[in-house]
Amino acid sequence: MNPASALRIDTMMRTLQDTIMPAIRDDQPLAKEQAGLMLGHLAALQQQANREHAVDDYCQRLLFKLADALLELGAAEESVAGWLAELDVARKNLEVTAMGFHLERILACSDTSSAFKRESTKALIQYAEAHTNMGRAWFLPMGFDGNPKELPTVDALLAE
Amino acid sequence: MSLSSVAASFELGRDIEPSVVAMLQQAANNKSQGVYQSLSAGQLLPKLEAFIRTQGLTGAEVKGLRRMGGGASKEQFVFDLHSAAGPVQRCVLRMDPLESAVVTDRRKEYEVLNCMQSVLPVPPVLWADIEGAELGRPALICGFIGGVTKPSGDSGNVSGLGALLPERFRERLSAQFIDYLVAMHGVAVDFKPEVFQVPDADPQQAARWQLNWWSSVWQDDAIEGSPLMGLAERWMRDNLPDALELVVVHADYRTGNYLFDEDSQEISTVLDWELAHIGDYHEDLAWIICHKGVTEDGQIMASGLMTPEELCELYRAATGRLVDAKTLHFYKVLSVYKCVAICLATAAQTAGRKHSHQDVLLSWLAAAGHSFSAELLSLLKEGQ
Repeated sequence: MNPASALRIDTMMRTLQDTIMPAIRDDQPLAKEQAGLMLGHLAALQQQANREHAVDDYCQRLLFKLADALLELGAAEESVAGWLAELDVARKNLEVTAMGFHLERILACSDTSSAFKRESTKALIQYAEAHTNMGRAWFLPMGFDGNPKELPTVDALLAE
Repeated sequence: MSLSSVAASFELGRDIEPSVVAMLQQAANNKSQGVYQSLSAGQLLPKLEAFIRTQGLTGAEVKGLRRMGGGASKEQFVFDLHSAAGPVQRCVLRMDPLESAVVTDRRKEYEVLNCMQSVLPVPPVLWADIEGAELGRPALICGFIGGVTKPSGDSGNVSGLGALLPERFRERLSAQFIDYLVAMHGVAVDFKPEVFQVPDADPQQAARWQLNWWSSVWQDDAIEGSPLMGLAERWMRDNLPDALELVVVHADYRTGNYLFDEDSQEISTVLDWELAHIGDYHEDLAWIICHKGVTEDGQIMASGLMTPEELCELYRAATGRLVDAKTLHFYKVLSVYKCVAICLATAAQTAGRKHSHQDVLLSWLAAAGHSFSAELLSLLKEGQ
């Protein structure tokens, strides 16, 4: 729809940079810093435009795959039986947020067999490698990543 | 409405430091409050003058009160204090917003700063409004100390994360940085028992208290579940190390939290003691290592100053303490776990509730949680 989000973000960035930031007095350091952060947020949003749903879908697919793996691996684990049952319900109802919390608590439980710990660690590592790569790639424009050269792009990850 | 922190479910005095439970419980209560409104300098001025006069300083007058930049957690103001008692003194007021990236307690900060005055350069503490009864929010007033956190002209990241100091600064600052670490770790751990409790019930209690503190923070504030944080918690519970010796842990000692003079390269003060507690000395070493800068040729520099190996060797040589690789690894996992909790959970929740004057910085900082998550994964793979 015209005007496109990209155009609106672009104009906000220009007015911040050319009009608002130069008008902030030097004795207002917090206002200067926060205006700079707004500019940074807008620049990042501009680079992320139109792909947030695709990224969320990608992360959800990873979560479902991990849930399936843990439901199978944990079938004999009494100490996490309650969490697994809740995970199963959440998975069937497509309640993604609940699934995330249940998976976390299942993996946090120390009172499980060494076999479950070993195999669930393998499943988690596979999940977390893909998930953290996407998180790093998605937020690369924020400038926090220590090793951006090794990262695949968001588009490359989505195409997997 | 009153909420309950996960920490409150632990058995008091055994599994988590009791004063930390109280702190997290207060934070849980704050979550249900409305939007935080900062006071302007003009609104704050009469409260500040009235507070200082109640401290026994006759004829106190505050001039030039203005907001400072920087800092993700506290509202900071600088002012000149005029009084009949002596020359004009430049002061800094640090005041809690309703919530911030980390939950801390002004009482602990006040106690540890007072204790460190004679040990290493720290800001002189003048007064504290522990409960915020006079100033509206809990606050500390300290003497102003000049200096920079990074060389001028170094843009860096606004968060102060990932700082790498230019080579010409490293040798001199590293030597002082180690000296002050050794000095703070040499202080006796005999504080007022209601302020700092000592984890000495069993050798693993120091590590367990920290794990229970930060896993409570994570569970109190997480916006979405993280299977990775779950695995990290399990790994830490299965690998709690024995503390060889308990010290005063600064818990945020790194480049960015000390000031130095650019010309003399002298550290003028060590800042941000709000997370200090009694614990294992490996905890500070791990935190310093995890706040790393990377040189152009790929060398990791602990806190942007020296290699992790140099840090550990210099510390060992200065203290005679063993730096145990397994214990250090545990505390590296804990350090990065804390960073993920601070960024992806508390910072994001605080910004979402509009509970800080720095919401825009907190929502920026939240994104760093993904890089810390990748670091956490890497450490867990290494520890398998």
